[in-house]
Amino acid sequence: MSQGHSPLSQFEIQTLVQMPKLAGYNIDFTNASLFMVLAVVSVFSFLFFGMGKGALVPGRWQSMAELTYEFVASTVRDTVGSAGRQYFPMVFSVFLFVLCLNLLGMIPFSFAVTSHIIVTFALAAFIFIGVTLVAIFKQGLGGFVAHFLPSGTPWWMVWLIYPIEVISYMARPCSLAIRLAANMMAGHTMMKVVAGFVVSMLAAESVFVQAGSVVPFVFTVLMTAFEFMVAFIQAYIFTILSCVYLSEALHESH
Amino acid sequence: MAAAAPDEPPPLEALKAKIAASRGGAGDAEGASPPKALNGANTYGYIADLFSGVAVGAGLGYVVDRQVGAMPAFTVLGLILGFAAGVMLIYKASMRESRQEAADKKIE
Repeated sequence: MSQGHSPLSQFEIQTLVQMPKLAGYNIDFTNASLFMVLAVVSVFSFLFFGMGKGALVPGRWQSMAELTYEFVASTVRDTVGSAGRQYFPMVFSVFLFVLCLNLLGMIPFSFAVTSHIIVTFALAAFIFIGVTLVAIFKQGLGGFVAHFLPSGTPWWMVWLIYPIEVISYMARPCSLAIRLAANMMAGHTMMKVVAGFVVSMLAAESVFVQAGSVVPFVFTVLMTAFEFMVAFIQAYIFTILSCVYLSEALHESH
Repeated sequence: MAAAAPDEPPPLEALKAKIAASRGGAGDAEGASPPKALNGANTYGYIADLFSGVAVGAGLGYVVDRQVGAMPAFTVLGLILGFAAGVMLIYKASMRESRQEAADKKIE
């Protein structure tokens, strides 16, 4: 009965197009798939039409596309250094994809794909595997295995520090996935709960209670603005942490 | 009638002060510093670090236990080491943030 009113019902996966099973796995086209496709189309359109003319004096769209490019480029430059230039396309794609998914989730009655931990974990795992491969190629297998031990560790502490470092390394994709999904899910749930107060207070019989619905309404408006900021910042955090991991892989820190 | 010279700073100094004031008020658009904003909005960052450390540690311990057949031993050990790993992740993240803050202050 209250399925549609639950603050968590907005995160339900719904099948839009049924597909035959692939090796026993369900590969139906869902609302999550739709919004991921929409995100890719939006990013492509933004860059393709924004940079289509390539004018010397940029227009609005071109300025936005150039600013986005410059923003990510400076992030990569500041975090990874010049060695990170060849990984820029990957970082840029991840940033725009996550940002677009976050922003698409802000449209009323749409679906916030990044509130699903499996999606964010898939993204984080993709980065984790990529960064680990880069580290193995750059440092060699021996160097990679040895880099877990911080320099200056006393020999009698190695048995304790080494497993802790390995676990903390392996926990990175989980941490990356949880922080993005938790932020998005909590924000959207809070917004729906507070917006629900407006409706339920307006439905009350007392005029005072009805008038009081202004308070949650204002709060909802403020929260919406805050969620737009969170959408951007979470995409940025996801990107900058990917850059930090990449930097560690390239520069053999520790 | 000669008007008294007003006690104003030289034009160049006044312009410098104006620029500094407007930068201080509105923030530097080019060098916008997202790391400052991160501190407030990255609410779940540390919780995610701690939780994932414990989860991965316990998970690895559980896998080892299943292989070796020493059921709670490695899970508990993994849990403890995972907690330590989570704390280490938090420590590294906070160090990174304070380094970033120091660098931002230097730029200012």
